[in-house]
Amino acid sequence: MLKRIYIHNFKCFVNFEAHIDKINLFLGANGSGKTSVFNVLNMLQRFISNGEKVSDLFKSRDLTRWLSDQPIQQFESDIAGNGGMYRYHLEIEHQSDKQLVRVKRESLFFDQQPLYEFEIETDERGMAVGKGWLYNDKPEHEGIFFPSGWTRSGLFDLQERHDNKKLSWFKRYVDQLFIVKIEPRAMRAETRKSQTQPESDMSNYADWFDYLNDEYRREVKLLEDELKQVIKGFELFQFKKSGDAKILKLEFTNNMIFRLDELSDGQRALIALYTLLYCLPDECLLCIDEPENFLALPEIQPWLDSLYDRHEETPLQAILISHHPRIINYLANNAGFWFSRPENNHVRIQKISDDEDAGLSIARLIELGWIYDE
Amino acid sequence: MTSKSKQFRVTVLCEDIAHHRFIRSYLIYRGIDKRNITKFSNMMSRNNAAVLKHYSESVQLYRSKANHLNIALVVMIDADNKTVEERLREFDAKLDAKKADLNQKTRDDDEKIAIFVPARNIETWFHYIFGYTDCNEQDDYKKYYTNDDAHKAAEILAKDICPDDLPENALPSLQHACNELKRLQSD
Repeated sequence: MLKRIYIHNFKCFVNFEAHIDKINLFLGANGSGKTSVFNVLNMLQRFISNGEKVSDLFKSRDLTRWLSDQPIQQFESDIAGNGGMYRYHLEIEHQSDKQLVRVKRESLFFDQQPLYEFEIETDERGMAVGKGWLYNDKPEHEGIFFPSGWTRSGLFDLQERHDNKKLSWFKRYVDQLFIVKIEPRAMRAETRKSQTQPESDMSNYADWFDYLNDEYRREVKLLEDELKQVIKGFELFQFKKSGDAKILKLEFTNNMIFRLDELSDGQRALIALYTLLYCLPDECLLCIDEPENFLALPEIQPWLDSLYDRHEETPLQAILISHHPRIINYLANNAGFWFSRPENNHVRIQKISDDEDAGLSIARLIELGWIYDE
Repeated sequence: MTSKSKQFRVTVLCEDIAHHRFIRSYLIYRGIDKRNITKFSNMMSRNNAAVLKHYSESVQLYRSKANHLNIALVVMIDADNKTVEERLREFDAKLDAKKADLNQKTRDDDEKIAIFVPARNIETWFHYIFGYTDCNEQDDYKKYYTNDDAHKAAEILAKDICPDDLPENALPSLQHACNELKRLQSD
């Protein structure tokens, strides 16, 4: 479970630190930094899991404008799991004059035991040299030299072995970050190749469902049972061959069959939202930007109930961004975090609380018009 | 305990997520379809004032449908610094001030409207349910529990405690709730 994230010198984040709970609601005005936290998580995932180049992900234009004399960006996260606490740390150096972006330092620790360390050092000739050290599961292991460069994450290439289970657990966790903002109209019905992850807009839903249908059969069955309750007349999913592709269709009562992309926006959003609840692996983090978009009002609370049901059955962690009164009123006082940028300065985060001294008070949010105290 | 009919629908009016998760989980363990448990209104999960404020409206809604639908209303409010009886009188006054003054009933016996008043609060019930049977209704055990404990507490109550009668030394507010639950019995 993600416990903490630290961001420094990225857009409007300066020494930003958020302590995250199991179910979380990010609240705040447009431009206050909520979605940027999701963007950072997404960039870290692509850096570690996809092996994308640091220069493709971390742009110099994203350095905090008023920290122009500081070329180092820092990201850090604490993740509880596998019986301990992981700390991942990443420093990125930007040399704008040379158009150079490189990894200055990257490390992963488990309960303060190093699992991987990389750092740029200067050799005897005054040249910058990247040095990586890889450790195994044994705390007493002294580490071996690991030839990693500064353009990509050193963790990307590491394969699971019998003696690096701690590191492998972390990589699996990062693989399984689900960060989405559902765009129903982008959800395609056609698939040519299954994919293990949904795109952030869920456009590859059929590709992902093809994978789920093979690997998560039991969960797909539960999803179908739930959707029978949620979408009137829904019976089941089915794939139909069409040339070298497959088309994801939904069967309704009276043998009515529709392609996924023939459904309404709201129906597609519901399918995506419930799939995210029923078909994710255990111990994963689900981040959804405005889950209520496209939903009818009576559908929001049942989905929130299902989110909590799922969270109680398996250790699912969720972060929601929402401006919807139904979600705000239900979650703000128990799981709310308020994002703000006073006088256009750096991002500030406060826990929302009924207690006047423990963060941003509910009374203040009502005053600001963010909470509807009926 | 409760009707297992698929058509049996329960509306829940309560203070916060801990209340809502506890009631919802308990009802599901007792056989109510989860899609038939709905939360009343878009009131903020915050405090007891909102529950009292919406009580009369929720009862009116119940009474307008109870003749032709198999429905129930479950209400929960923490006693906090009051007694269970004082809280119940507050609800009575919201429905009918005159009857409340005369100490008369404001709910008919056959109305499926159950009012639960954990004393001192829902965390006191959690404390009892999790085995601290010597706890009392005056001390505050809030600091020991989070919303996540509501589901487990409901499971233990539904599976292990409620099938038998509550022990004689059980918390009085829990005893009262058990009596209120009988209002939800099938016809």
